[in-house]
Amino acid sequence: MTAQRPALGTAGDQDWRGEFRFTPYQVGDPGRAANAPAYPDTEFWDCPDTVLDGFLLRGDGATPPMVLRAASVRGRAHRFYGKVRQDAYAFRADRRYAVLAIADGIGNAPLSHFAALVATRHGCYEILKQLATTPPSALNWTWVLRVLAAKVVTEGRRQLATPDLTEHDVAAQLAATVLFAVVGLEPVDGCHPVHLLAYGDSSAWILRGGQHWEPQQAVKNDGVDIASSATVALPNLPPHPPVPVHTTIAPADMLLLVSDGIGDPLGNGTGTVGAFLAQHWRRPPEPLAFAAQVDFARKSHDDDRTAVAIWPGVG
Amino acid sequence: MDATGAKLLPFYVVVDVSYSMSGKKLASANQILPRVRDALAENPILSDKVRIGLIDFSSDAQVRLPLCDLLDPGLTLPRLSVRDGTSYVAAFSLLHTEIATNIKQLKADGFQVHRPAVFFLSDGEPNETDPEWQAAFATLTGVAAYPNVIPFGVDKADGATLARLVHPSTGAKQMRMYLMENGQDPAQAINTMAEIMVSSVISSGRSISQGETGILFPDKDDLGQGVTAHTASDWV
Repeated sequence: MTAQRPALGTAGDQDWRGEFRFTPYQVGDPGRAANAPAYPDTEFWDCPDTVLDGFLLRGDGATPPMVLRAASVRGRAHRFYGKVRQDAYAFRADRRYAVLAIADGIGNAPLSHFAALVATRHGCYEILKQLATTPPSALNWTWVLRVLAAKVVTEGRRQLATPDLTEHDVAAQLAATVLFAVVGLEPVDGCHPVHLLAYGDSSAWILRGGQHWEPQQAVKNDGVDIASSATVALPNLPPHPPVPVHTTIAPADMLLLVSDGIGDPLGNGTGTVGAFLAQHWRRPPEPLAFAAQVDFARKSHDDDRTAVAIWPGVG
Repeated sequence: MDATGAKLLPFYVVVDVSYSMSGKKLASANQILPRVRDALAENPILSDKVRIGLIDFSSDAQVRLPLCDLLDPGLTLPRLSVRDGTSYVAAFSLLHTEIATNIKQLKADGFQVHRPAVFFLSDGEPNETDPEWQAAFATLTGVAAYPNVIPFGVDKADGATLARLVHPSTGAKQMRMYLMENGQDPAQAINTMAEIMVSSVISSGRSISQGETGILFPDKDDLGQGVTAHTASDWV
């Protein structure tokens, strides 16, 4: 006589475990958009609503690996209007450097998500290639931007299947801001060197000691009478090259790159959004949780959101 | 609840309520806000950001609805009624102080205020001399937080006068003016203009989600019956 088997899913069945309980994150007033329906972009079925990553980056030496989290989520406006996510992120690393990139496609140019993908992916490749022979402080950023502008134009002509389209006409169809970070995987005097270059309104932040957000650029719309969402973007090139920022992160810090979908609600970092993100991102969350936190609901902040974060000292 | 950093796009609807507006014209003008409200009710993305105010003017000007969220459940929309003559000076002066006061308060409350837009509807000529109303208009538009002004003219409104109210009138972000076609029914034209206002609120509200700042307008082919679109230079 065989023993009675417990029914599937009862307490007697211990072959699986785990639980996913999810309450969407809201920060302050979530706004009506928090409950707006989401629709696909029927012209771009293969562009995911959300992408995310989580892994360790190891250097050459005995230093503990860095923890990386990344997520790019479609904003509530694009979900409601059935439009593709135009943000993107990318990364490349060797045993010395991690190169991180985020890009934010310009909304009124309909193919901007292609510009964001090209700028991040090829940008990381190009920078890491330069780093093989050049220290990060001597990177030729003007050259990088010029290469990326040309790549965006080429991609635009390919997507539009019109090889003779002028650069100006291509820029009306696809354009993207870019932000790059080069992080030294081996510390120098206990801290990791960081080199940042922003072209457009994406922003870099350091969560110092898990306590407060330190902006690595001027805060957008700070002190102005009338707010503006206008920005510079590739393939248009700046008359004066943007100035790279050099800084360092200690083991207790965290480096964060964000598109303006997060940068705008983060403001100067001292408000409710800053407190929310600092509390959840003092230590690396699970990758799925990180993406859900990037997707927090807050009234009027309905843009695409992208965040790439690196924790040097907790791996 | 905390809303620091929230983006706001303010629209001011300014309506002529001189005696000549009585009857069907005023009835049509009274439908502008309900139409905007109905459109916002369909769009949770926009209604989080768009704020609407209503000012009427005749010999004086009055704030009939302070800048607000039209979907606020406690809100009762005002009904306009006619009184006296047509003072553009009164309208521009009140608009100037109202916009300045609103922006100061909203900024103090932590909002990110985008450039206001004014829909200015009139059916006649101002009672003042040209230098008088032009001075008041220059005050309204001469500040850093100047509004975009989009005039709407029906009936006896003169295109040449209203063309002076298009602001900015030149450059990449120049505004437009909408005029009733000759021989059309003015009340019907105001209905069409209300649809143009709704369309502009929706496309402009959408554009600030897209990394763009500015007021957008419906295509000339989509204007509806009896109304034509113009730039200021059409009258120069």
